[in-house]
Amino acid sequence: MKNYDVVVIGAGPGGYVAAIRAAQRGARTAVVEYRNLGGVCLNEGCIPTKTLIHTAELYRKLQNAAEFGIEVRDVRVNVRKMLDRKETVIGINTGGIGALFKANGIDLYKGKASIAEAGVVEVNGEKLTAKNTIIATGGRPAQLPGLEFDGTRVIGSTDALNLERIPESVVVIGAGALGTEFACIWNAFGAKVTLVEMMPTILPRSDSEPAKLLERILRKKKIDVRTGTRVEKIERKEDGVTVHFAGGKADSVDAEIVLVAIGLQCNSEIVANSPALNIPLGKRGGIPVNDRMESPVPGIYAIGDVIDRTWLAHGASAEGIVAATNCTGGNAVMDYRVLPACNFSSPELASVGLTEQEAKDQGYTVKTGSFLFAANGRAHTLGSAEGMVKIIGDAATDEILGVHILGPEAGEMIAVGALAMRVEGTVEEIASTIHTHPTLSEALWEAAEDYYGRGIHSKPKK
Amino acid sequence: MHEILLPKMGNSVEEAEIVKWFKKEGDAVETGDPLFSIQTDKAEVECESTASGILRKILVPEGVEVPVLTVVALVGDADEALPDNMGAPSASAPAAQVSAPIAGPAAAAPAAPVSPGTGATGKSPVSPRARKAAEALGINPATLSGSGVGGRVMEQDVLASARSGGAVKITPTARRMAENAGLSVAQLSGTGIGGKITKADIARSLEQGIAQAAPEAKEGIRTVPLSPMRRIIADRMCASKYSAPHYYITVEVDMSAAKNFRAANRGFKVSYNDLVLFATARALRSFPAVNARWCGDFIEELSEVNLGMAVALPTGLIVPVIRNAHLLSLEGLSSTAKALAEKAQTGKLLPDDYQGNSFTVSNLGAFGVDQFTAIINQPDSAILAVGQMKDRAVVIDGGIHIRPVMKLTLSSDHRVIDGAVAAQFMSHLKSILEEGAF
Repeated sequence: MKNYDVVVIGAGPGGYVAAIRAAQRGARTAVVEYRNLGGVCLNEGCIPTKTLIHTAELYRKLQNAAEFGIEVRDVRVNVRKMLDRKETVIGINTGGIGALFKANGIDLYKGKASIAEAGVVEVNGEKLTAKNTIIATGGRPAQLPGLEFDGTRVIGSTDALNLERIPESVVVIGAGALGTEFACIWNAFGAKVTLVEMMPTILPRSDSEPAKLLERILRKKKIDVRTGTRVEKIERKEDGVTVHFAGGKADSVDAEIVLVAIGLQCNSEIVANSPALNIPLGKRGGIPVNDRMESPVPGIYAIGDVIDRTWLAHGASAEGIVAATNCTGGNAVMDYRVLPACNFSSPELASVGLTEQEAKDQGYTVKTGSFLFAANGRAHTLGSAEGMVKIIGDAATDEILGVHILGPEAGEMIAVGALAMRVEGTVEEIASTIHTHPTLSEALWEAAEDYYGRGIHSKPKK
Repeated sequence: MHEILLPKMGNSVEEAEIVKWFKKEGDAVETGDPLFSIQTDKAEVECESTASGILRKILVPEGVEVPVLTVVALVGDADEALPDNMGAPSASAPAAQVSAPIAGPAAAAPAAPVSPGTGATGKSPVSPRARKAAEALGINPATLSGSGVGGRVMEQDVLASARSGGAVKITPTARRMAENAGLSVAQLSGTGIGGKITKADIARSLEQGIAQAAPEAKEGIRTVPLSPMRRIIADRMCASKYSAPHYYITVEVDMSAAKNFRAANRGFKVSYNDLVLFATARALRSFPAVNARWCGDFIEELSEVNLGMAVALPTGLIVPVIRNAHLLSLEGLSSTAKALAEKAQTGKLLPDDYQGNSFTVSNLGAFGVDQFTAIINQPDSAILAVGQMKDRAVVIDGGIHIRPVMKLTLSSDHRVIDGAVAAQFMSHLKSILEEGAF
């Protein structure tokens, strides 16, 4: 029996970060993982989808290269090569984690873990004693009754990443981050895409103003966006599916495949299978924890998708650092106030902090400033001048409550908003910061000036 | 149109804050009417109108500090046109709006501006309010460029520097919150990175503030807001007691001779306190080491005896100063003391009346106190505490006698006055009183 200070179950972006931090803090640390290192993020999530999105963008740019004065003939998609490259990128990243484990003296156990009792983790019949256990087992795509994945006609995101061909037509159910991203990928490759969302706007967790603008942009790209629409039923046929809608436009659409992207289910079976722990699970199977990431059982922590909170890789990593700190004698509390996120649609929609509605609901007197990329020089040089920046402030103090960016490189630019919020900046700090010309970031500055009604490149506010 | 100036109240007062306007614009005023009151760094003083007519324009609002001889108001006929350049000053930038400068003692036309630099003696002058604010905020005022006349550093310069993050480490949002709530952040300790004050710190402080500012919630406790005088007393007493190492020497004085002297001179009414003051002034003339000031790197022994006398007021106390007390006859000293006491009681003291003391006498005899120790009234180095005169049984030459006895206690700053010196001084004072040689 091996003894550890910290045993981390799951080597995704939550678990592997937690393990490294625990080892850095001097804990004897082990990680248990039954699949490749890196979790969904590296293997079926963030990294592979972004690889495909970049490829799709490149393809679209090549198709439009003539506009830029470059004539390219016979642009074709080689799906096999595309998937190979994706695997190469994944391999580089997962290999990196293995090397980091070695460098930090972390023992890796390959296999499925179970918790026999609090403080004992079992893997491949071997028992590890753990003063502290961090459960970081992640989540998986949720399935709808009647919409179960069959791997060919009705698929989830994991299948979608490994499709050997570009489908001619596809219905995407769920316009959250994942659904919208795949809709944009297939749209770029020329598929006929129908994007269905039950809520009144796509990306329902985003601020409605940029979300609605994105909806218009996607429609212009010929994506059939149907908001406020439910799926009545799916008919599986030999050569495809027929999806019947209710709500919005009550008709049906034939498609080659259906992608179901309606959220995630927590991989909390490790707790469910350990009744001795007596931890009640939430809806979607979330393990309940406090903001120190402690479960109701002393010495057992949980982080990431399995606690059903942020559904973000960097959220899981931040939680992992909090958990690792607390189980090695530290005292950290997870602060979710500044947690940026990016939807890698085209264009990207990134945000940090509150939406305008959330700010109002929390009782703030809300003031906003916004700016369209249509008036940004750099955006035009890139040939992507669609989108906007919106800043939400507290009228009493001008504190930045939220920043929402729809446009090229929004995911990169949002870091500035996050930093500004982290240091409790006011909109005035952004407005008084000199921004580089010509860059996309100038749009953020203009939005800050617009907040005070003095934008340089926007019409005076009436 | 007559200009009403902030009066010049002796050489030591360079500026004052207008505390209250007793009249508002449009009111009729007569020469001699109380028009406004000012707060210097020592006391609140009422100022009279120097013209009759209608108060047309108040140029310096309440709560703003300006140099002496600044035009603070205009009095004229109801229909007289106001000069063009007399715009309404905004409270946020008062000093810039006030055109009148600090005039030199010989200035014949007080409203004539002194060109910047004439007042500067090497480094920029700092207004007392600015110095106070700077201390509270932990800013070195010498590093600031002043917006006042002659580059004088004004309070607003210090506050502006604090706002721009010159001193306290605070997040921008927290600073705005504090400003909105009128909360001073100088005393707060931050919980952010490197002790930075964050939103949460301000929120916590405001919550505590609200809890404290609910006196009615506490049964049996009355919350008394601090008057300016109370603040001054608190500041000065703390400064003295915390900086000067006090020690105390008490002597018993047989006041028979003094009693006889009073009986023999019924012609003019001299009080026992007058006699003590007179004897003290004379004793100090022989002991310049007791009539001295601690100056950090050196000690100043003063040849002039400027004798402070503590006067109790309903709201606190004030110490008017008998100037050149060592040169005054007993009659002169007595009448000066009486006049000052009267002025003190009626709030008519001018700053020169209560500044420049070199030694102070405090008498609680009238309240039946036998003996007490007093806190030194800085910049003095000693203070004499006078108890009541009472008949006591004393042994003289083996016999028991009834004598009027007064106990005098000297509090001394040991940095300046050693015990033996203080003892010799008290012995000398005692002999003057006991000999009755007034």
